[in-house]
Amino acid sequence: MEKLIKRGAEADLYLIEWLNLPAVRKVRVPKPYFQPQLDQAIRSHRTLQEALFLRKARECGVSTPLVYFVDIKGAELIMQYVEGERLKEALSTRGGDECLALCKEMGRTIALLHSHDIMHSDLTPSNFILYRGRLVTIDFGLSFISRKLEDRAVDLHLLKGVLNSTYTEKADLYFTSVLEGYGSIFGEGSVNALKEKIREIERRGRYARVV
Amino acid sequence: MNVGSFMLPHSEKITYGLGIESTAHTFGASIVASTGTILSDVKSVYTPLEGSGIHPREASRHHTEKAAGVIKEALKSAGIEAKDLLFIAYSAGPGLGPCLRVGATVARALASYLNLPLVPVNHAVGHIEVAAFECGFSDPLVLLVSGGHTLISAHSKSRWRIFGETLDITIGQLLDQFGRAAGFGSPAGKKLEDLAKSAQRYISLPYTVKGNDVSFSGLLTAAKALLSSGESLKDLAYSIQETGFAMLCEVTERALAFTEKKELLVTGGVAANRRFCEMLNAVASRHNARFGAVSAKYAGDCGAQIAWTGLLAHHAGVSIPVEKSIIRQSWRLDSVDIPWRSS
Repeated sequence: MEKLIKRGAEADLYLIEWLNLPAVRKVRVPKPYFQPQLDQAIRSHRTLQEALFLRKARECGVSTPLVYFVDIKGAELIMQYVEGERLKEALSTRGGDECLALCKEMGRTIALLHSHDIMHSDLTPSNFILYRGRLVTIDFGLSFISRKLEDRAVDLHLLKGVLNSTYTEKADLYFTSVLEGYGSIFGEGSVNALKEKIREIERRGRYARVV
Repeated sequence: MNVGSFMLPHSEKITYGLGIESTAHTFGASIVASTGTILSDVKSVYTPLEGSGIHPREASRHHTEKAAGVIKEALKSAGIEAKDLLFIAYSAGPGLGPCLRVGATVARALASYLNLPLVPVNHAVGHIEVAAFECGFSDPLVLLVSGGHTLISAHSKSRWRIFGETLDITIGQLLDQFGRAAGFGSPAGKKLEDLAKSAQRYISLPYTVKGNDVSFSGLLTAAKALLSSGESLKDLAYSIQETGFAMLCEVTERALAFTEKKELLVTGGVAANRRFCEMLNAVASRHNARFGAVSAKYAGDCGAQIAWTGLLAHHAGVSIPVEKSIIRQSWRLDSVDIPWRSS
């Protein structure tokens, strides 16, 4: 038995049974409109990165689904099924205080990853699942290791962009809470350096008003 | 008439507007009618020497020399006279300062002399609106790809919101700067597209996607280095296209899945590339979205994008007094209020 649960931009997700446990089969399907060698390289690389970083993240105390099976060439991953609500939906449906608490928790989670030099590279509220009051982080296909402040700032800059385009009026409040949660791990001093770096990246943006 | 999600007011008397474009290499003028038609679109393009880019001073000199002729021709081919005009729209930014100032100066002079309202238009908004008009799209996810822009946008709450963009150079700059290294003049996209057709093999190049954003600087550096080390120009042209376009397709697909829009619109100069449109068309159909590309005649910078957007803006009551009509070299798309679009 196999049920398609989501057709994403990059992969198809199926709900399956794996050793009598509900599991997710994530298949990075070939894109016939991509150059074939490039397509294969991207799909295999991302599958490998995702499997590696799902495990690495757990070592830092970040909840992630357990990986059951990896097929690099077939670009396929079988992992634990986490039943819960995506943070993307939670932030549009729940009350103000609860949303801010969730954003703070998201910031704390990101800081845990960053404190172990893990850059997620795809931080959006769609990639956190709310499970029994905890946040489970997913989609590590673009992740990489870095110790640079610049890379940490880019990671958060991307999240800020997503929050701005999705939750327009509340975005600033949400992002402030993210940084608050981030500071609870890293300390206020590092957060200020990070904020300055994010501003620098914004100023570099095309046609940004130079202030 | 119904233009996507908004209405132009019905009126007995047909009125006309002039749009002037001068952000970079192109000086363009176009006449639109209040009935919702583009009557003329005339342009003169400054071409730099082979192997070099746009020199702002030389481009602005070109614009100064061509302005009067281009505007006269736009009026003539629309079959109207200057006294029939109801507004003057001009590209107020973003772009090269010396070039923008030529268009703005001409627009101010005409508006003062004819006593007409002056309508400032953001060049990026112009690219989007003229394409949406041509394709009949009302609420698209937009991919704007040109020498000045590379971004993904959708309209929400009176602004074009940016869902992803380049973190450094644009796709147009990638193609032009590689073309320049190969000895071509700008824009070089067409030459590279033709060369790519006879390529023999794919050369692996840096592929950089960060969330919904892309970065082309590493790809450009690697491709230029390979070119100077003697790699085949044809193979490199092919590989740059395949790699750069795949990066953009990927982030577009992510934005399409995220926003769940049912229309995908590509606009700007690079939208003229057939291979790119073929890839984007496949992305759209995978997500059950309609695909539309701006036509070749309005893909590159043109007066029509300014005249058409000027018409929408003028109907929505947008105008600026001459003494305040500054140009803005930096003017981000997501900072422009769009009073003519609902939601």
